[in-house]
Amino acid sequence: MMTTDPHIEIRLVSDPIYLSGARELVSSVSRRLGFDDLQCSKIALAVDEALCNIIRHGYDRAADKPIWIRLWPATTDTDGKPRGLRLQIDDEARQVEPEQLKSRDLDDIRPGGLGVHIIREVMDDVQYSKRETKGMRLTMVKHAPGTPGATAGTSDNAGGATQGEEAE
Amino acid sequence: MLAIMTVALSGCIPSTPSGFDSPDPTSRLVAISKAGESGDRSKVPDLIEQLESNDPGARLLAIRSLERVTGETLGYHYADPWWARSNAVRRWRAWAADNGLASDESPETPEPALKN
Repeated sequence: MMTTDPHIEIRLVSDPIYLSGARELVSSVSRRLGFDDLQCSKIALAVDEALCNIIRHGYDRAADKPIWIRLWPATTDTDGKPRGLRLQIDDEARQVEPEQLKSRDLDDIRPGGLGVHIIREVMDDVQYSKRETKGMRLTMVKHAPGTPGATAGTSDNAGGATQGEEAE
Repeated sequence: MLAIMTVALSGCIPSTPSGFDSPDPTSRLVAISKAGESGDRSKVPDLIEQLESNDPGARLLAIRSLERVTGETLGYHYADPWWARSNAVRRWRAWAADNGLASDESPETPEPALKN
């Protein structure tokens, strides 16, 4: 359970023009928390997909609805060093049963894309829930590489090449 | 008369592109997925192009289809940043050329335009 105040909390409106800013913020903070470039890119992708899903499907592309992004470092080490990242994304969109937001079969292609599948594949823990008043909450955790439960995001070369290097 | 005009005009109206070039994202995803199910190696160049899509869903299905058709991923992952993906796309283009599957055009991999 998250009992502490978030270390970062932003509110944005559901206008796609702000997606790149949200991505860059999360990616930049992830890097400072110890994730490599590949992992930062995947975390940013998950946030991007989550925000796109809210804007397209939750708010039917209305550009003036609220979205909140909150971020905590996940401290699992006894020394208190950040060992991952916890993100929470809230909206005031119509509520759906969380079970309906499970990852779908990749052959079942419907409008709405593959966002939930991508989020679940890229992050280590993903949980949808209904907020108490209205809207939905997405909680995502990414463990730092080398910690229990951490995945490489299924990339073959995760943790390998760094930016600018040839991965050949 | 109306029927004749309708038939005559229908040849003049450009049809909406379907498949890989469709403006409809869902149609594009269906085309990418079907290319994988078909096992048709002639679709490999089209699938390689989709590896550079701005849509991560299209990239995910494209590498999945390529793996189905060829048995390879060549280290490509759809969620990697563009610079890592572009290295893998170069490997895919070289692979296609080596296997006689290269398209006539072999564009350089550009840095993608930033999404909003």
